[in-house]
Amino acid sequence: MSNCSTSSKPCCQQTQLQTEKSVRSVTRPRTDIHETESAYVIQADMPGVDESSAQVSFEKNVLTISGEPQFNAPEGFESVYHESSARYFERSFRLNEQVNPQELKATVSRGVLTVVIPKAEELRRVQIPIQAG
Amino acid sequence: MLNAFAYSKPNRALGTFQRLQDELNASLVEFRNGLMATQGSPSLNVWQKEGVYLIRLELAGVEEDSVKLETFKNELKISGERQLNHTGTDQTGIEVIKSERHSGAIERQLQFPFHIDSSKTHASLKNGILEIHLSPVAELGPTQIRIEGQKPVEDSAAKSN
Repeated sequence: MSNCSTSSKPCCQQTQLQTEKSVRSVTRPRTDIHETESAYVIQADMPGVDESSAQVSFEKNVLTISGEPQFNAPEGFESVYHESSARYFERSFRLNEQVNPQELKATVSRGVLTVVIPKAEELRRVQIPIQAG
Repeated sequence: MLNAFAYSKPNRALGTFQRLQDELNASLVEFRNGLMATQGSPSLNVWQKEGVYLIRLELAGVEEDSVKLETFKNELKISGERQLNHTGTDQTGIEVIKSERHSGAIERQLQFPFHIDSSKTHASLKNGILEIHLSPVAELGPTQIRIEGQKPVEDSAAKSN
């Protein structure tokens, strides 16, 4: 698995084009990736994003996560001080191995998006029993 | 016609330059926010309406029980701790491929130009956003203290009328 944004793969070019077209700044969510025996787990910080505003898509071995949290203050409130503007989170990951998109699981909890990518059976580690010779 | 042509070019170039400058500014702000967040200082925004202040702080993955809010005079202190839990899978054989998310202590202190009324301050944590509503202590105007034996102010005002 490689991070798409560090390579010059076609998926990144596509992302940049989309950004320019819609003229909004894209925030790359800070992400942890872990590997277990049976799956890869991606966890991305996307504060303010819930299950209705998060999107996970998978195409040609590129996993794209995105989300747009509600930013505006309630009616009548005026900005006094701001450090961050309206956010649009997006990040793409290229997966090296064959993955069945039907088996991907995505959940959002407390503004953290978690995607579990199960490994294919043939890629899982197998313990081979050793017999006395 | 010539003028329109002659002026359109530099304007377009300026527009491009402005766009580049905006993108550079946005990326620098983003970089600063990211750096602050990794130092345990999440970014926040403040809004105001008729004396009520609304503060929103980005606290993704933080539970309610691990956040503490304190007010003292004109200061608001938000502190807490973020612990990363790698849920959603069996925990066996976890190997880190990428680790960018901050864990550990979080702290921000805000100073307001008024004393905070803690009884009117309330907060909620939803979808990783901490939302705080706070109000200033009601302004106390000048008050007159009556000396013992002195007639009430209302009476003297009525007499003069």
